[in-house]
Amino acid sequence: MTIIYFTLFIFIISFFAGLVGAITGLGGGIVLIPALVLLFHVDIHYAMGASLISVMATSSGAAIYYLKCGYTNIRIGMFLETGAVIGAMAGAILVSMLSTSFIAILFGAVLFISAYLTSRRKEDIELYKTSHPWAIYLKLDSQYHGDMRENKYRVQHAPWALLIMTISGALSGLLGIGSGALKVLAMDQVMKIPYKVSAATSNFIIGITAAVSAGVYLANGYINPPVIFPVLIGVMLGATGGAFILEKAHSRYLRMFFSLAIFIIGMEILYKGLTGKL
Amino acid sequence: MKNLPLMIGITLRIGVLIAFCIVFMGGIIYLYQHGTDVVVLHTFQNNNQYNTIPAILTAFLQYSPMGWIQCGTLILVLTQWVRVILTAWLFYQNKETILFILSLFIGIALIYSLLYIPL
Repeated sequence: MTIIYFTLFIFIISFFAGLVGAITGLGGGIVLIPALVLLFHVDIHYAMGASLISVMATSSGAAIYYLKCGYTNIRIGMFLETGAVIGAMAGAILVSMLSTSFIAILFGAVLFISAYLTSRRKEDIELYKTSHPWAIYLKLDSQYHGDMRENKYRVQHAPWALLIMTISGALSGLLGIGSGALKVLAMDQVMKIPYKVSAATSNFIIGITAAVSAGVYLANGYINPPVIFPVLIGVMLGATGGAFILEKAHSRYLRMFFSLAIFIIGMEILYKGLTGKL
Repeated sequence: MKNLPLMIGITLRIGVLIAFCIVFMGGIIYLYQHGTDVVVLHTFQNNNQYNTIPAILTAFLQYSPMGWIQCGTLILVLTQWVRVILTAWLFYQNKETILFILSLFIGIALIYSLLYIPL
């Protein structure tokens, strides 16, 4: 295939990855890397590098919207990000020592977990009267504006959340994804923070996690300009389009469809990884 | 500095836009120069010479399209670093010592990552 067609096709795929990522909240990396590897036979390391860069871009692009809405909790974000950074650094350094098959198998597993997490219904948060001591000390509790009133929330289980975030960071570094699903899980299910705040805060810190891995990926040669160019442009334009659609679409049905799609992709990449066809 | 969170958001937007433009321009020139070449990205070859910061900056100044694309990615990373530093500054102003130190730690980790040399 010539470069011009390759670039065009990658751009189109990336556009859809960005679009879907913006609508479902599940980062583009989950869709992008399998698409690049399975459809276009790009080496998985280049795909991971490109995905990581696009994660940084979409995270930054959306951040201003969430910050304006006042959902982002910067304190919780930076507190949890400390763990994610350690994980991401370790993960990124480890990648060069892992076989492609292992990465593919791990990727398949993460796809299944993400498919499950995305398809779950969001439950209403119970209201807590007390907070974890760390939350009190670091003033992590806050409120957000919704339903015409200020909704207060109190943070629970801070240390567990930190641990989960470290794992999330490690996955981000190991696979070149944003691992937003796990981040939201840590905040939403463990810290018992309202979903909107979790999503906004996760978006705020996802870019930082990716940036930490990016330096290592760059040094290892995973960031390859011919792949970066169409991926970055495509994902950014797609994410912008997705933000427009998000206002109008029924995201619940999209999420269900998307969960099924990535489950199937997970099977495919797991199969390829196990049979050494990657 | 009252509305620091908003400032952080604006800085991010600007950084992303600059990165987008640089990558786009570099990419278009790259297509113009190499559009009819055959793709060789199926196996990983660690022969990419644009993977250290000095090399990228040199290539950028020489108007190399690959250099420009890589420079765009550097700017994205730099944007994140600025975000972290601004947040650290916010905590410093509010006298939140632990969060300030944690943010500084993240900033240092980012620098270490950029200066990382493979073993």
